[in-house]
Amino acid sequence: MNPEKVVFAFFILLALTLNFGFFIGEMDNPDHHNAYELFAAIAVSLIATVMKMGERTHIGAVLLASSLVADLQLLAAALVWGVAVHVTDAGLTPAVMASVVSLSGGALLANIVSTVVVLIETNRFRR
Amino acid sequence: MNTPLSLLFQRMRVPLVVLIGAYAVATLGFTLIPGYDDSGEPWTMNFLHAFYVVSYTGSTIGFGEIPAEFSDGQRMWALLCIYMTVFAWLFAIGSLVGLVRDDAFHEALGRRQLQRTIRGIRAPFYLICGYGGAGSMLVDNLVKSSRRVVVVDRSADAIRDLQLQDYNVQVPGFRLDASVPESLIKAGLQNRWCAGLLALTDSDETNLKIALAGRLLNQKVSVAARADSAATSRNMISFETGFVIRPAEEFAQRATLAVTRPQAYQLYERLSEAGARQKWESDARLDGIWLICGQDDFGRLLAEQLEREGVATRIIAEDGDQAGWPRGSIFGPSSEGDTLEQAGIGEVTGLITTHANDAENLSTIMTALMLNPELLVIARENHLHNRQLFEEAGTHLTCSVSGIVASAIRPVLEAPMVPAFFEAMLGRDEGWSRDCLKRIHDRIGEERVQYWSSRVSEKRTPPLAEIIESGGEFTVGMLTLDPRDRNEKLDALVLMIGREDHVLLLPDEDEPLAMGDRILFCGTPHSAELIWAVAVDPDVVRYLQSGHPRLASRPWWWRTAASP
Repeated sequence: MNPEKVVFAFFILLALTLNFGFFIGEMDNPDHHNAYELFAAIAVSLIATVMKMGERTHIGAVLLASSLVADLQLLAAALVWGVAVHVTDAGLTPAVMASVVSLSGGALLANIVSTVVVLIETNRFRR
Repeated sequence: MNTPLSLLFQRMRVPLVVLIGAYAVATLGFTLIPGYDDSGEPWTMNFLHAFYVVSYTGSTIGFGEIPAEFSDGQRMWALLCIYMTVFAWLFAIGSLVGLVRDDAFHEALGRRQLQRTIRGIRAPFYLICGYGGAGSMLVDNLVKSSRRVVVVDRSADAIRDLQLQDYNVQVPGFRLDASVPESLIKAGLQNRWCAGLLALTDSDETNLKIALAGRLLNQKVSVAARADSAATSRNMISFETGFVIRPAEEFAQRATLAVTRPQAYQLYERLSEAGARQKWESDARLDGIWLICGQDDFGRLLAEQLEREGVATRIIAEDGDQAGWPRGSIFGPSSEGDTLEQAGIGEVTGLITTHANDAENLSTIMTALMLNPELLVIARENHLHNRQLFEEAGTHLTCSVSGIVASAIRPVLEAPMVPAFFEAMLGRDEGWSRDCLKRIHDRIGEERVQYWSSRVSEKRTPPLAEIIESGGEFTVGMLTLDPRDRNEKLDALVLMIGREDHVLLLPDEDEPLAMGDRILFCGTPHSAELIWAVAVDPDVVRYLQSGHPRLASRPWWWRTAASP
């Protein structure tokens, strides 16, 4: 067992699960989506991105790209949230919440892709 | 090999994870720890404020306690955050600086840049393996005739030397082992502009590998290689290496020419420019016995060749027995007076020192000249920086090994017809050599010469072909007239014309050209450029042939008015 591989897979899976945890729930209900969960998802996603940097294989490039997409989506979600609550006085209306959650839904898709790619690569090595 | 970017990310992975982790923990802490406002009501920061506080704390800007005065709990956390984030930053920046100073990173960065330079070369270039004496002379020579060169050498010192040279174009130098084929590919062997591969390292085995790699990895490049031993030389010729130079053979040939045919030697030296002029008077007596000092192939081959030409020789070898050496050989250190006396230093005409060690050559020369000041001395010079010592010691002909290798290879790179010309030239007698030397002197003077070749054909020289096909006459002399003024002659000379199955050596000025002629020129680089005009411009050709002014350089509405 390679500890490096464990850490790598751990962060990629954690990014996916946190992302999923934030995403799940009624779309426009702020009570179903926790800010801390979004924060954790962003932090873990950033770490996962750094872990994927420097891989020079083709699959490494796909992984890095999907991770960057997830980062972008999650940061956009956090930005929408922050701007709605602090900059404008719109507050956390169902419309704002819905767009935050849909952005995190996009990130979820990117995270699923990167997890699938990791699984494929793991499978390939076993042969 | 890693690219610099992937190396950067690999090394920065841990520091970046630490940095992100520190920021995440710090931000999270500030959102959880409560503060108390004036009325004692608890409040907590939201993520915006928490991240704001951590950002200005982490970057050591320190705006103070914003948005409100901190509680003791928040201050404790802030204390922790300061040390945590500052440590994370120092770690990240330290790693980055360490990476920039790292040799491997530098190497990767340097190679990347060099490979980009090679991709940017849009002209034929030569790949030179081994930047020693011969290599540096060739690079110098080629760059000065505005050709592009790429150098591969295993030693970092050699590459640094190359980088310190002041050339007007960039000469990429790779510190790589040339015996590994991959290094040659990195240095551009398979690039479409790679015109030649030169194996000039000091190891026969490496040169052999380079020549093989050249033949196998890119059939289009011409390969020239140095081979010290006869076996390697034969081996290289067996797989059709374009040009193989064996220093011992070249040295023997030169020294033999110098002793037996001074005019031919002068001509050969003029055309190859090895920097080895003979300094004895033209009426010096060269017959008599020549004493050869040396242990290796240089002396042996020279003795054989001189004997074949009818010159008496006597060998002083360092050690050995009579069996391996010709009769009459003397054994002992040639630098000692006793040995030289034993060899009859007082009665011989000249001394040729061919040791592989310059100190030994020099001390032999000095001792011998003390015993017999009338001696003519020819020396093998192994390292270029000893030239002045040889001059001071009173050597009449100093033949540098690097010089003869470089001067033998350079003309071949410029025009593949040159070896055939040299062979034919050396077949002629002394009178012919004197005439040829005189013609070169009249036309070119003492300028550095360059070789180039061309061919009379519809593809290569359409205007010439047109004139000849239509029954006109274009002579050899017309080729080297100045296209700007027909009464002036260029600093160039037609050395040889290859016609069907025979060659015309140094053709007369009024010799007419024929279709399919392969012409070998020599001349100054400037005249080479002007002569190219003959190949492509019909008006220049007509002007040179008939003397009519170059009408077509005027626009068409002038042309009718100007012509009678």
